[in-house]
Amino acid sequence: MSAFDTHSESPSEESATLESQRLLKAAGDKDLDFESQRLRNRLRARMFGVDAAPITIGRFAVLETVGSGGMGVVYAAYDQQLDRRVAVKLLRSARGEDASVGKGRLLREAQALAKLSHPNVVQIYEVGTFDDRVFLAMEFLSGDTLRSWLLDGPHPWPQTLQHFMEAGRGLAAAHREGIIHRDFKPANLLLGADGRVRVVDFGLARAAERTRFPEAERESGDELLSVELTQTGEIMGTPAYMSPEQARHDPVDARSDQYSFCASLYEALFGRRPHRGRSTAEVLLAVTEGHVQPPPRNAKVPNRIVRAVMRGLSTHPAQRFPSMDELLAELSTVRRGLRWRVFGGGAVIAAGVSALLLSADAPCPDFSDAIGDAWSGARQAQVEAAFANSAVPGAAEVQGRIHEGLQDYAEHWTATRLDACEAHHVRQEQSAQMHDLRVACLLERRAELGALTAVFAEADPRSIRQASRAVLELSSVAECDEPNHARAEALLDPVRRELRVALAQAKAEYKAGRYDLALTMAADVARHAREQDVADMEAAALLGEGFIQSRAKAYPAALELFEQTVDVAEAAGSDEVGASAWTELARRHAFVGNNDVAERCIQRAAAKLRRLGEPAELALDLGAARAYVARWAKRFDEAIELQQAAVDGYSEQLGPLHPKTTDALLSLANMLGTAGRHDEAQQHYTEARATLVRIYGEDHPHVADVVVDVAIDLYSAGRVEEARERFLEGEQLIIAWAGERALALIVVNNALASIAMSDQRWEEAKRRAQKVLSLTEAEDADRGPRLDALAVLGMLAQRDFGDAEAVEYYRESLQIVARGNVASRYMEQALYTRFALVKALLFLERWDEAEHEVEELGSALSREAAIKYETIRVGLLRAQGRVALHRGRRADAVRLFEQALDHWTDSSAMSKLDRAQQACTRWNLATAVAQTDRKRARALAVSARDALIEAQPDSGQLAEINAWLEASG
Amino acid sequence: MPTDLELLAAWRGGDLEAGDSLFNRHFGTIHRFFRNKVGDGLEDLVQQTFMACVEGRERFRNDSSFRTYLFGVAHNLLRDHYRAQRREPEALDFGKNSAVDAGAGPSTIVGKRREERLLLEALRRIPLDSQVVLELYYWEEMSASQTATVLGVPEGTVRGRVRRAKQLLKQELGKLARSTDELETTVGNLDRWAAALREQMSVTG
Repeated sequence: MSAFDTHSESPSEESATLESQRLLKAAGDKDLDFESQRLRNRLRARMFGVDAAPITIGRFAVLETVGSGGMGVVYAAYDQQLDRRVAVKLLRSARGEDASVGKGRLLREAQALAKLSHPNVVQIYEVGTFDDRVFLAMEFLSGDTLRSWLLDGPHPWPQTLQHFMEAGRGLAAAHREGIIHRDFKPANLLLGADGRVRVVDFGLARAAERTRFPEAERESGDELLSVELTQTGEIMGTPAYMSPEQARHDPVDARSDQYSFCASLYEALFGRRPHRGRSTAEVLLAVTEGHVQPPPRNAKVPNRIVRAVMRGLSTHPAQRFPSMDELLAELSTVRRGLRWRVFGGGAVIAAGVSALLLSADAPCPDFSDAIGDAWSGARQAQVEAAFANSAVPGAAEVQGRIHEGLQDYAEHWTATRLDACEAHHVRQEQSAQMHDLRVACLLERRAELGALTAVFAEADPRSIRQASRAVLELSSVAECDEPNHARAEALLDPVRRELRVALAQAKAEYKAGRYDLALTMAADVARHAREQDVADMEAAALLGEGFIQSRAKAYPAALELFEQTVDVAEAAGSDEVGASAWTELARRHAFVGNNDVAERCIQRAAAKLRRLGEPAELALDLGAARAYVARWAKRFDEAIELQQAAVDGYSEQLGPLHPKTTDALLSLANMLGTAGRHDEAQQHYTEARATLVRIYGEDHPHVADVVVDVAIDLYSAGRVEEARERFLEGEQLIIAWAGERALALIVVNNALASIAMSDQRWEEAKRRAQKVLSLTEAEDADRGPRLDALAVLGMLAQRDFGDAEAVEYYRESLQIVARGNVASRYMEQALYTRFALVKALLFLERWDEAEHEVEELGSALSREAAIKYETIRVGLLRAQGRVALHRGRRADAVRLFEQALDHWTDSSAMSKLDRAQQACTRWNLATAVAQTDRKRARALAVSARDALIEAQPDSGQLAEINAWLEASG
Repeated sequence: MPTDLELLAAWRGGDLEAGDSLFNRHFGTIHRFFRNKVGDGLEDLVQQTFMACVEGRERFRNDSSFRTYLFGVAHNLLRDHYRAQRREPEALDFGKNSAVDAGAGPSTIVGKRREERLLLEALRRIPLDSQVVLELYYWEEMSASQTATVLGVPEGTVRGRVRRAKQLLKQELGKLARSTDELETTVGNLDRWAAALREQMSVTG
């Protein structure tokens, strides 16, 4: 089925007719809308002298219609509350949309407009809905449009420029709020009676964010309908001022407005339009093909202005100025130069005036608002409120810490933004390209910051937990100072820039712990990159997906993604992405025991890094990965040495408080512990804990994690009592932050269950193992710990003769392993589990099941090396013998028991448990030969009894043997 | 509640309140009748329709015949309005020319669902006689004989017109759907269109 099938004829002609009849009726719906009511009241007043109550929109009494257009009708109205005249614009419903959805969106966007307050933008006082439509109440202006003013010309060009500078500032202010005009033209500029220019008629229902992935929008037919239902066939926007991307219905951004601004300014300065054409179609063709007429030679306009306007009219958005601010800076530089000449007659006057002009019209604005929504006062308040309202106990402290971090970041950003402008425009140290690269980089950083603070504004427990770390992990602003010129073209390419911004946003989501959303976003970027054939960005997005899956502990998925990444990166020639992907692949392979593959991945990554000239951070990442690979290959000394170097390197490169540094320090401690160097491990843990307390505070989950690590190390050092104390401390910290259902409690309870088992505190062991079972019930929980808990519960059940219950635990455990996706040690544990299951089934004399499991265990063991799992192998022979005996295959049973007894040859090396098992096996053999060789049976039984009395006097078998000996005696 | 006829009688007797009531009762349907057919002049046409009733001398048997009369007046006024708008009155054929042909400006249709808007647009594009007959039939739920009275034609003609009008409407809907496609190719895909144009030019040049 193709998508086009939906356009096929209705199967039944009749139903189609019924449908159109229903539609016809609906279309003639009698409900009077607002306009019709106004008309009726006018007629009633005229015909019958009825003075109907004035119609109001919200609290605004409508006085008269001022005009109407594509977006709706504008009324002059009277604000009864504030006693002032206002203009009220009543919008039509959004085109091609379900009315309620469209209304909600229009309303939100109107609210965004209303937040904008700038002297050069018409002020919106209030937005609301009326009669199911959205309305905006705005300042009522007397005056004319700039279009009429221009028609009254010609005017001196500096005056024209002055008006446009004002309009441009209004436009720039809107852009900072993410609002795009989409139809900037002289007719949309009001020249107030006060002489001030104001931009009006911002395009609604198409705010900047929605252009991020415009395909979805276009597929929905939104754009199509806006064309279709504009009755005159006019395209949205006005062709003469429309940007090429808008004419092509490609996604638009602030730079489209810049184009329209320059097209309008061109016309205003030179008295003709930039594109020649006798019809709309011809103009559009000229626009899309970039045929801009050169300005007339006799114009008095300075060259620098001409160049700036022509740059703004570049067909390719990337070739225009990165933002309106840059364009305005360029235009105002010229003005200053001009004034210099104009007032240059006296040096003293000139100095004074130029100083004044500099402060009023410096080429670089102070950029104090340029950070925009990403860290606006409103956003700060939202974040604060969200944390304050959170039930997470440590939220308030975290909020204080991140506020400081984010404030620093925003200030650094703003300072860097200003520096980028001044380095180019004022100090003229940096080229235009350098400037553009820095600004592009900074805009990505701002997007990342904005995405992160947006997550914080919603503050769920997980993002609160990750918040401090996420702030520390924000991409460095300083990096923007050193853009890679070799990649300038790719860095400034608008398609890539858009994708990079989206990826930066995905990164923020993932750092804040919203893995699912982050994954969807990164996957979207990868898909869009693939569709647009931008392989380097696809590779970068795939790498991002891999990182997210790694942090979400979805290791098999991560491995697959990194493998895809290296292929795509190779094809795209992206060595940086390739190096990172190989580095991560090494870790993933090492983790699952593919040591050789891991080593090869390391070599590949190293080769890429050599080609890149050993960039510091990537080299450190590789060093840490080398350590990781060595650690999983059990080459601990090498691992520790490499890891120590990584810790030192990160600390120097990124600072001691950076998450990469503290992570590396903890890994080092873990490696030391695994290598049995527990004292050193404990030292490093202590150091790491002190640092983390400094960064995150005393009770933060990251600190709790270290406490648990310390406990685990103490436990493996055999310092069980101390370990238990630390586990209990960790448990308290975790519960205090995340409650009784925190997943971090799984490890703690598992460990405490094991300790309780070895201390023979059976009740506690059982309680803790059951807690683990309940915590691991969630579908996506790590299965491994559940297997441990099931083993504990099975053993405890068998201890109390609850073998039937134990069978259930063991069966669940084996099912989990059979589904796969568990660490390799659990595959090994499964052998023991099945062995325990066999014993339980034999005890219960559930012979059929026992026989089946015996076969399963036999085939599993046959795949293992013959010298491994000796205990199980002996046990298996005994179990096979018992089954054979039960089935009446006496000779087989005898052979199997004898084989089992062959295992115990060296009596000096036998433990008590071995002796007890040997005795039981002898007793098994005795029962097998009892009817054929009575004498041998008695001898075996006697030796079994004597051995058991010594090795396991409380054994249940002893009574059985004694009874038999007496009966047969 | 007074009947239409009682209100009309009172209004003719000078009772403006009764006139207002009668106006309020029928404003919606008359307004709708004109709204989909004229751009400027809507307000005047609505007023003239009601004023013609009070100034007229007709007597009616019942409310339904009053309503039929009201639409008859509206229909005549509409035709006059179209004629007045045309420079060459004799060229106007209501069986062939549609509201759009007759120069009705952009419709004031607002806030409807897309299919409904398309349908209203299609209605505006079929010949006026067909548009009126369909609207009376479906919206006002008039019988064939009532419709015949409004239009001043025999009943049999009305039935034929309804059938024909439905066919025309269907065709027009089809055309509208196609013209959206065409718009998309000319506007949405200007690159391809420009390329085709260049090809043509190179052949002829």
